[in-house]
Amino acid sequence: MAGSGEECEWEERLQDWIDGDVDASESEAVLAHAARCASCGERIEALRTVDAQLARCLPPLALDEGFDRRVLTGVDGVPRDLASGRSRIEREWQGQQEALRRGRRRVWNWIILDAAAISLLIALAMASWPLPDIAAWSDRLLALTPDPAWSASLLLAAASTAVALAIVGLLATTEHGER
Amino acid sequence: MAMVVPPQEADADVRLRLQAGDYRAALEMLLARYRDRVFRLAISMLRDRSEAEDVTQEIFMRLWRALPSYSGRASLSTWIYAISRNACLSRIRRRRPQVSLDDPAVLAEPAIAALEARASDDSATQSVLRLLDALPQRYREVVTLFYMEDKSCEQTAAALGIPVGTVKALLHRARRYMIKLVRPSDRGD
Repeated sequence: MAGSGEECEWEERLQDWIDGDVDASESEAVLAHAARCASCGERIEALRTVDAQLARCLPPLALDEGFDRRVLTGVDGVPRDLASGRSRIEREWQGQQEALRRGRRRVWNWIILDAAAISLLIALAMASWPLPDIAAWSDRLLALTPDPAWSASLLLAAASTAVALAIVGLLATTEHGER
Repeated sequence: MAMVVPPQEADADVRLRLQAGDYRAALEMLLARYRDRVFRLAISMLRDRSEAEDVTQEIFMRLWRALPSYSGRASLSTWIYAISRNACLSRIRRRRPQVSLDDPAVLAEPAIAALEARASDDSATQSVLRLLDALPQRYREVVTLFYMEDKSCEQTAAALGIPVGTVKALLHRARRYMIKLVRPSDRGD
């Protein structure tokens, strides 16, 4: 065998030959070289021995036929609970999402109803009270000097009604949502 | 006429089952295709048949639990081998500390010299296994899997998650290492 570079080259080619990873012409070249070179001849024999021993000691082992049954039995036990648990959780989650959507719709319904009721009450309250002197009110508005007594009573009545209705609406919504 | 299925579509039927939520049928198909490969990978890493069988069962139970979360980004084989390697590594970590097989005192045992003994000699088998145990773990896994997978570099590479070129390089180095253990005067690394 020649220098170390050539040695390495032949080492790799010998191993490729052992693995059957060469074509016919390369195989012939390797065998021809091994026949001429004593070192590579010995080497290829050593590699053959190692290869044969390893192939003999490491057969393509396989599991017995009962293996699948054992795994599937295990799968049909605990994992089935797991699978049903997973679908139960999915159903619960979807149910919760639907409940949230219903709750939001209900809240908006009550808000709209409350707003309508408040508007109606304010209108009724305003209608039941003596009409202010529009001309004087306009003058006051223009002068930016509202009648404190009139505006305070009106605003207080409207605010109280709105707050009362809002509380009633919210209570009704909460009670409905809890059902 | 039979159709040739490209390698990347080898598990397309299993993917369809998974998309349909039919996890049990998918698992049965995976069992038929991968059980022996996973088992051999486990043997290459654990070096114990009984433990490898045990951990293979554990791996398929893990797969069963993980199937609904399979995203499909990696191929099924890559995903399965990754789970398998992790399970084997966990098993190795759980083991009690053992005497290192790389210890020179272990290598000096005369039994390793029996590599050149006749193939029919049972002590030769034991000797080769001892030699195998003396290899660094990375070499040992590659050698074991390569021979168990009927000398398939591609299958070995897929199972270990490394390139085919790396499998060949490790295999060649491992053989040189083994020959050197038996014949210290031989060339090699």
